[in-house]
Amino acid sequence: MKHITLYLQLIILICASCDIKKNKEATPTGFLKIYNEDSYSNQYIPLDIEQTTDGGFLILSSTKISTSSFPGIYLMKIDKDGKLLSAKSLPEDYVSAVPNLLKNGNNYYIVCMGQQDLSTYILQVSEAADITQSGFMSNVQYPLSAEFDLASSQIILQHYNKYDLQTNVSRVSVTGTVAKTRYFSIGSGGFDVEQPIIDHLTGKGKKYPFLSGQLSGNTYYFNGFYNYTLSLCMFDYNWDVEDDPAAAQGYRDERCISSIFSLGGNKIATSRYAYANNYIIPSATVPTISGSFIANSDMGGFLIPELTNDAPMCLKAIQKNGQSILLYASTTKSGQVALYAYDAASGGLLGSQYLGSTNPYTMASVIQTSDEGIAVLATTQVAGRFPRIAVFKLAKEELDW
Amino acid sequence: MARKKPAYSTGLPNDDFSKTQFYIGMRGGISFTKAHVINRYSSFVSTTDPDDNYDKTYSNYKKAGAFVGLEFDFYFKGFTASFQPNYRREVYSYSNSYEWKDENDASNFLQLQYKQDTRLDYIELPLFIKYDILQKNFRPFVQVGFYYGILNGATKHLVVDGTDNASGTARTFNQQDDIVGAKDLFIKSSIGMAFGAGVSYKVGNIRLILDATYRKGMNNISNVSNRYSANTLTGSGDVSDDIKLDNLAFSFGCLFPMKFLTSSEYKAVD
Repeated sequence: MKHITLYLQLIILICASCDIKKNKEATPTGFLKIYNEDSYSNQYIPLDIEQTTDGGFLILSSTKISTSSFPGIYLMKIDKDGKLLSAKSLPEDYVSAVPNLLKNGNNYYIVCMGQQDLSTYILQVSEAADITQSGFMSNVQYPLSAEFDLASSQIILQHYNKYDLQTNVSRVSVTGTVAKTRYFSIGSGGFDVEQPIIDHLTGKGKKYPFLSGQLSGNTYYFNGFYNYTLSLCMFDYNWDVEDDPAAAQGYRDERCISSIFSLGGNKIATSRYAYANNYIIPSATVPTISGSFIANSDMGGFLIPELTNDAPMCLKAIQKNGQSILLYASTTKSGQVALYAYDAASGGLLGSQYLGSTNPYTMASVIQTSDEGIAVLATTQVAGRFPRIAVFKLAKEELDW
Repeated sequence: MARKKPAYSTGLPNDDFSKTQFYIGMRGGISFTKAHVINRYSSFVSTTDPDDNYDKTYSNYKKAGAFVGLEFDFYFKGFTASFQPNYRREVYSYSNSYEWKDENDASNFLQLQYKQDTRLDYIELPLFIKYDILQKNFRPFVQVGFYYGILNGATKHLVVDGTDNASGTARTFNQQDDIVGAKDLFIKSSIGMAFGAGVSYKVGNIRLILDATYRKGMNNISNVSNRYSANTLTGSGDVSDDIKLDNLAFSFGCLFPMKFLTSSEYKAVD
């Protein structure tokens, strides 16, 4: 009896030592961090996240300021484990940043608006989150979207021209020199875009999925107001001035493209919303010949009923174990961040994942990290009422696809 | 030739048979737990006060747990090897306090206190060596040993109390309690040393036991890999600290002897 007991204990102790040793050597590969302060009135809405070469992250956010109805800019640097390294509000002259950090190698840029003159500023951001103003364009107002064009090392900038009622898309240097601009007439139909655009910039109204960038070769795109509607338009800077863009037309601001990723040629992965419903479209073809058009309702897609009405969508291409994946991120009606992974080759769904609990979360952005995991940026309502910045870092092993 | 009588049938107190005894019994009781913190963590990060780490405040030895189990003893010359498998619930509590205030109007503020009970259910396999200080019917004893616990289940019970002074008048409120599974937040194994003292008293052939035992946890029971990923309460700032559990248990039990002397009283060897 005594010997049996001792042997039993010995076996169990050996098993236990394995369990305990494994735990001792383990390190958490992911984290959730919520960046809180004890202010009752300050509000922070995260916009975009980029990983720096030291493994940390730069986080661009908007914040409520007292001197303007346009939101100010708040910039944070955290380390690879989510520890805060710096956090600062930028001078209140800079407002309404376009909702993405532009990355060119190890250089990062913020495109934003001047509070007084509504002109466009380009701010260079160091990896330590130090800011220098690198460009200013007094004749470019209401910046709406910007993306770095790696081919030309210039920025494709969409901006609103209220005087001519146009959407303009300019190719500008990081120092603010405008190389080329295309002009797209919004028109003066029954749908007035002025107030919705102002409300978009102040954050008080509907947030529109303004987008711009390179599709392939000399073909560029913008998702913005054209011909009375919020449409996806393709164009070439070398076309004649009178040439109309190719378009995947929407309907007013109720049926729109909400994200885009170029798959080469005239193929894209995209998503759209139509009268509150949301659709994911892992593969679609868009017109690229001047004057040609389709209705974006003809692009079909998978209905995703759990998402909020006209949901914001972030679409990125990521890799996992050599497989190319299209990762869609959005916000559910139940207040979680939803992730949908599709095989880039077949368009088949690989898996989905939902993040966030206790308090509601709203998706802001997602990126792949250097360890093949992902970082998800979101707004959370701490205590159900204070908008704060939240970062989910998920290791490769934690991805459900 | 006369056959020699076996020793156990003589009834003499100092033969080999009467020097040892097997006991089988039951025991149960209550216990109080302390979380010994190794490293602290939170999902909240202060953007304004680098010294504010949102540390939890633990309430040690406050909430009672319970246990029930069996006891198998082998007694020899005042020493007893005692195997006491049991099923036990250990409970520890902590709270986080948060406050948000209006810089422009000090009367505007919100205070929240998140109180959490963590309940851990273990199948525990302890082995003790006891020494009876007196060899009488009333026997004070001391014991020392070690244990191995196998986690069988874990839950977290969250209660949120608040004071909302945002509307001009202070209003206290309680949010709905949440109970969530938390087994993935802890590893399977819990090991440690145990020290105790107690008394036993012989009533008829049964021996009643009353003792107190202090268990000193020797390993981090929090699952490091799942610190952030498996906790549905992370969204409210809750992340498990690295902890070892210390535990003070008070138990009552009774032991039944398995060896008896052949006599008119059918008396147990003791």
